Amino acid sequence: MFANKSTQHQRTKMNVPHGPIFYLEDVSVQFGEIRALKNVQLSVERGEIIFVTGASGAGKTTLLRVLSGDQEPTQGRIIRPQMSGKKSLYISNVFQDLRLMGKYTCEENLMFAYDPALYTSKNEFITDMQELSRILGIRDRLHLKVSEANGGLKQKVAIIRSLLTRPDVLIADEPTSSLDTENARRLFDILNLYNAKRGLTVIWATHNKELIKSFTGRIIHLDNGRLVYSGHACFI
Amino acid sequence: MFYLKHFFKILAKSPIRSFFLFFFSVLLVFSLGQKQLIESQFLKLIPDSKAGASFYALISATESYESIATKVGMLPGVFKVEVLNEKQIQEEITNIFGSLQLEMNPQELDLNYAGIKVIFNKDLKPRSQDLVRDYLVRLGSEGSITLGSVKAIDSVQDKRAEFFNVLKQWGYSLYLLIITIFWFITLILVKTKIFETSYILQQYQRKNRIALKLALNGLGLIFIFSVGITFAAGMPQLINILFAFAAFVVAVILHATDVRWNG
Repeated sequence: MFANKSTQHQRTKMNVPHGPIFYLEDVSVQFGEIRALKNVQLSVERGEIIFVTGASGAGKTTLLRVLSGDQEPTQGRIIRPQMSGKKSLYISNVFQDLRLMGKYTCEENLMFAYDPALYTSKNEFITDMQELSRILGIRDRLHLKVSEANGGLKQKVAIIRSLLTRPDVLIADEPTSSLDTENARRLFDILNLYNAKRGLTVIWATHNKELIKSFTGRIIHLDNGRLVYSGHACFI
Repeated sequence: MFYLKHFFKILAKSPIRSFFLFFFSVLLVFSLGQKQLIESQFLKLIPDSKAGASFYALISATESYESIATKVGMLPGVFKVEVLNEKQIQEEITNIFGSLQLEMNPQELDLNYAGIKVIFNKDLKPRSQDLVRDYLVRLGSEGSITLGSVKAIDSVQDKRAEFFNVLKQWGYSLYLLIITIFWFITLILVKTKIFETSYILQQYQRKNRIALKLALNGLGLIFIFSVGITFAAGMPQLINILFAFAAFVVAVILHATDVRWNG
């Protein structure tokens, strides 16, 4: 999967510049009278794996939306330093509602991620797509229409689609809610691989405590819009 | 090619919306470009409304009623001459008997008459109407032609005529308005699909303003095709083609807004 990459996007942890890729300074987000985020102070380093936890309504989705640029803070500011002088960070999102095209097949949905600027050939893209599909055990179901697919299949397609864009940052909002622990673990193995080989930064909102315990990463815990904990899982 | 490929993929996934967008686009451009052709078709469809007052005439079978009808029909001020069938004649005789308060069944009479209905032009003066009636009487031998009284056009017919006149005057514009509305509705329906695809492409490829580019390529091609068909039917009115072009430009500009996910 990683053997035939275009040089433009061939990045390893070795040549990735360090330093924060996001810096949230006293960020608050207000929707009418509801304050979804309250004075959040957060710094995200390149190549980090971050689990965002918290109860429903704690502000996880709002935080992810702020990080991905979909939501502007109503107070405070977010700084996104450039990767280099020329190119900005490429962030790929896995949304809670997955945002797949229902009338298209799973494979057609994945093909939306084919950007000729990122791959030396279409074959390279297809090889990557098939390899990821094989690892997640959906290769024989790619012909199914999304409208006919079950929740687990849809989630896997959404995640593979994001990975095929060769992002610098993957922001995922509870993408494993329909997957069993084994499948979630397999998926996270892939993310770890991308993290190690390409320096992929992963920001992952989840309720899955088993998953958090199994992988090395930082935990950000939100409670009622406030960031109440930021540290390693073992300290929870 | 990238944008055209995705545009046609969108059309293929929503065949009904796409068919109507295609259909109404061609119809709109054609109707604008071939205005005269469409207007002439309208004039054929809408019944003439120049008819005014009328009267019936019974002509003895000994006379050549067809020749009389033709001669009267050629007179100035006569809009139309209708030759009546047997049933219409019986009805007219019944009316005449009724007006004369005669209790007779016309079917019992051995009437050997042909009947015609002479319709004057609208607003023809009574003096001119009398001249036509006199001329008709003189066309046959004495006593062989019996004329009924002149009946003014009734208010229902008058309103109908007025309606048809308005339709003739504004029919093309009304037709064009309806076509434009339907075209716009189908455009909006396809636009939601274009926005859906554009959102995904923008999210997962490093590209911007996809909806605008998809619309520019796809609608541009449909416009060129529509203009081609319009030219195939004869030299169109180029100024009207420019109006159609303007409509398509507006349609493309509608796709310049930010795309959001509504799925």
